[in-house]
Amino acid sequence: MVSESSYRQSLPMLQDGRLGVQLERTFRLLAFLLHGWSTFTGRRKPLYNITKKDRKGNVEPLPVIHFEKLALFTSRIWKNIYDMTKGDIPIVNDPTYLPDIQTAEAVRFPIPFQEFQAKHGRRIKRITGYIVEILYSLQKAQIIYYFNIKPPARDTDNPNNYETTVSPGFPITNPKDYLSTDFSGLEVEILTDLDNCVKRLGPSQIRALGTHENRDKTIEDIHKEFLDMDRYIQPILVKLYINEGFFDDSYEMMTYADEAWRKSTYNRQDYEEACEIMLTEMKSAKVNEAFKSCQRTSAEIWEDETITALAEPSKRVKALTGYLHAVSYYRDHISERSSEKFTTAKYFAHLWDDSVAAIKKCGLLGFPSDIHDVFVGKTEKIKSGVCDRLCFELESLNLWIKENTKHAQRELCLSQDASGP
Amino acid sequence: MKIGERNNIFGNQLSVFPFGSLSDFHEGRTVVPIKREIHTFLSREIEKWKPDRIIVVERKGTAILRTLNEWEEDPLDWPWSKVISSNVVEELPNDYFKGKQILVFDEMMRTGIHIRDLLKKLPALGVEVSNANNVHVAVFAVHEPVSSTVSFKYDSFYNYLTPTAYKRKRIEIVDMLQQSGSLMLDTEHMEVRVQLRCSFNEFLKALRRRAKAIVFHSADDRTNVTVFYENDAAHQSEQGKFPKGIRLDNVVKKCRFVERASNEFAVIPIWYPSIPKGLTNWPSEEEMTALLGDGALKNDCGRFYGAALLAALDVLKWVLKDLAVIGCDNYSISLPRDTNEANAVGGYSLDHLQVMYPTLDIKKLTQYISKIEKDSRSVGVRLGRSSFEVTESRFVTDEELQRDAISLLQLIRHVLDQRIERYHEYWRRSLEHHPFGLTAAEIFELGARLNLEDVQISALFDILIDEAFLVTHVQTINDDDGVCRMARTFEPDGEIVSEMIRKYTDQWGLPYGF
Repeated sequence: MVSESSYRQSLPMLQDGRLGVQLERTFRLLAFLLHGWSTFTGRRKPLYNITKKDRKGNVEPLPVIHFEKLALFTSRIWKNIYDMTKGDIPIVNDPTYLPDIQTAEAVRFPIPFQEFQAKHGRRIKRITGYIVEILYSLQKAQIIYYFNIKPPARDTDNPNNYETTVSPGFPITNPKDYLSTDFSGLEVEILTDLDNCVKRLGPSQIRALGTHENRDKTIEDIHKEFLDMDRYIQPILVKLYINEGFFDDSYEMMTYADEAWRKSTYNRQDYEEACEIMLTEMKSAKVNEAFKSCQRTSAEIWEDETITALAEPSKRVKALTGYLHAVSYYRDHISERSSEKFTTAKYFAHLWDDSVAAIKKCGLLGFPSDIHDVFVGKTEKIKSGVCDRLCFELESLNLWIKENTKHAQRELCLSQDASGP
Repeated sequence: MKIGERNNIFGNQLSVFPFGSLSDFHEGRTVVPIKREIHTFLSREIEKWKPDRIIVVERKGTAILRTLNEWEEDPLDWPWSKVISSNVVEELPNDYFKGKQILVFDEMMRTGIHIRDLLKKLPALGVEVSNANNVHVAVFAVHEPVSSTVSFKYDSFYNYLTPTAYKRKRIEIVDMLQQSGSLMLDTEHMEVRVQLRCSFNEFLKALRRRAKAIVFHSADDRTNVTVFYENDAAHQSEQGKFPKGIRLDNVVKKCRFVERASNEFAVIPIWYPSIPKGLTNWPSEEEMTALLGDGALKNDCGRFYGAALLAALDVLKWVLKDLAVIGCDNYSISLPRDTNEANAVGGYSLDHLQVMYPTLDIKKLTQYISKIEKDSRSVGVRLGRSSFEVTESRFVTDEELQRDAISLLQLIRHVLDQRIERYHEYWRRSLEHHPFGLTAAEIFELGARLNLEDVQISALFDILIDEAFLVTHVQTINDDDGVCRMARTFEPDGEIVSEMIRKYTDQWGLPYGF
């Protein structure tokens, strides 16, 4: 009979453990998949802003968001097979023990990261940070060279910048040799199969696979985008009222609206294509089973009443926030209303045209299609009629969000008097 | 294998660290039992400061005091009437602390936030904290400095403990409490005791007459039973007892049985209704108001605990009625004694409840319990003449429960972490609100995703609380019907447990299916 608390025994097990081993192997397996993807020379869907000149020799870098989605997707499949096969692993009381490669036809460890909702979607992290932050700090400390993480020149030390790219840190000349040590037979089978499938996916398809998993999470993510954009509505309303610039607020709002639209509508095609490629190329029965169990079909995700109900407002909000952001830009840059001399001006001219078209398509009336009709002459002042229309739409959006995201609001303690700022 | 025996609650692939003599030696572990150390420390503090009142910090402080008071070998002679929990100091009459010497007692301190918050409250209660002569802080074991929040003076038995030594002390304290009979649990609950003269199976059969029950074993091989009551017609509160707006479903509603001695069990009825914030005109019955006293009406926290006590009396009725079905010859109920009676000797009392219910009329409560016992017995005996069917509960081993307990704890921590992360991302600042836990309804939902029955989940709460893995709070929540309520919430007990769970989850992943 033992009277001591289990607590006594559980703590030290965690202090020692084999965390480092799991982490190192996770990095290694991700490096393997990234290497396969980056060096693939066959056809796949290109990413609009990565051109051939971005390739260094035969290596194509993956944007950091897409790399994280690859890691997220891989960890999902890996965890599923780990859960399915861990019962086969013998129990040994040794924290440094990993089951013997020859005997274990199992995935012997889960990828030691957890999924969290971040600014624009889910990312994987552990106590010490998001995966790309950990890899970047290891790279800076010159500890691990599995990846070459390159933040943009204007934000040199920020791996989270969306312009950061990730490419393999070393060439893998013989994949068989690379995986022969430390990975079990089943682990090699899974990695070889994933490598064969993933390399045929375009970056946007990888991103869609990582972003979406099932209906419930997709709804949760869309609600989150709406709720996050909601906090910019009041500041913009105030600034419209007192005729102040609102460029930063409208930019943030537009990015959330864009994400809501992607998740409710746009990503479906990439997701469908990705699933088709994966299921066509897949050879391993275990990977197939895990994939089907983790990644619901596009119909199961998007042919759903709730998501359909979210798609329409997402489109309207995307159109409205694009329009609003273009207005905020031209408010601050009067001379560019008639000129497209600079790259930025060209971008906003496109944004304006696209948003005007989208606004019309959504049936939103009363918004001028000529930027000059938005302002009082060549001033910063927005015409009162346009201002009223913008305010009305923003207020309606605010009410709609409050009404439709109650569960998400509760979790954020938004209306709880004990919490919130 | 019993719950207390499990050698690796955090995964069967991990080894047991050799907590043998060598590591004990290196870490300077003493041979003096922790109970003696705390007893010595507290006795000295009492002797030194000669306090009129002791304020115990949160739940474990009360449990420790109860352990020391009930220690047969050397009881700490300190009356419950002079002890108050830090949770309820605001329910006290304004002159309660006036001109009194106060000793604040906490068993452990890492950041000192709880004591700091308590000291902040005291001036509003008429205590001059700046006067070093009337408020003294005594903490048994103190962590090496981790933040600048400890800005007050204190006495300690252990100071500057390293994280490892601090964790070890915490474990020793939890062990001590478990060996004293899971006292963490009953610092705020009433209890009666039942002595069995029938087989345990017959007893269990009676408990399962209209409810589901799970049996498990805790430290020292104590048998525990968790009886879970559904929200069915047979298990509703008395008509008119609670006004509209009080939430009686989707909350903790159960009875615990904890073995105290051979064939003797403490019966602990528990029901925590969620009450609307700012509830007024309750309780409406004078009798109930007289029982609870002014404290229960003074603030939301007082009303929450008041409602819990009254609701628990209903649970007591159900369980005693079920027990009576096995026949009076097969068991005997020993009721709490009224310590104010001149000839009251022996037995046990409910005086410790004063710590959480400072204005509760213990005598009245004792009389109520006695009446409930009498009424339930007569109804139960009548029912016993007819045969009844028992509610089938799945048989669950201690090993399964221990595994599920950790899975549930992992999920609770993970969901809370997700919310904290989301909060941080949304508000662009850290969450500073304490407490921040999950409601019972939310935890039941998580448990259901683990394919667990409600009764199992209910037992897991007990296991995790007894192990000091989970801590309870009263928290303002926005309920799903849009009403702001005071509700029971649960979260992993402190940063030490939380870090341990996070590490475990990072290493081994969330439970299957998550």
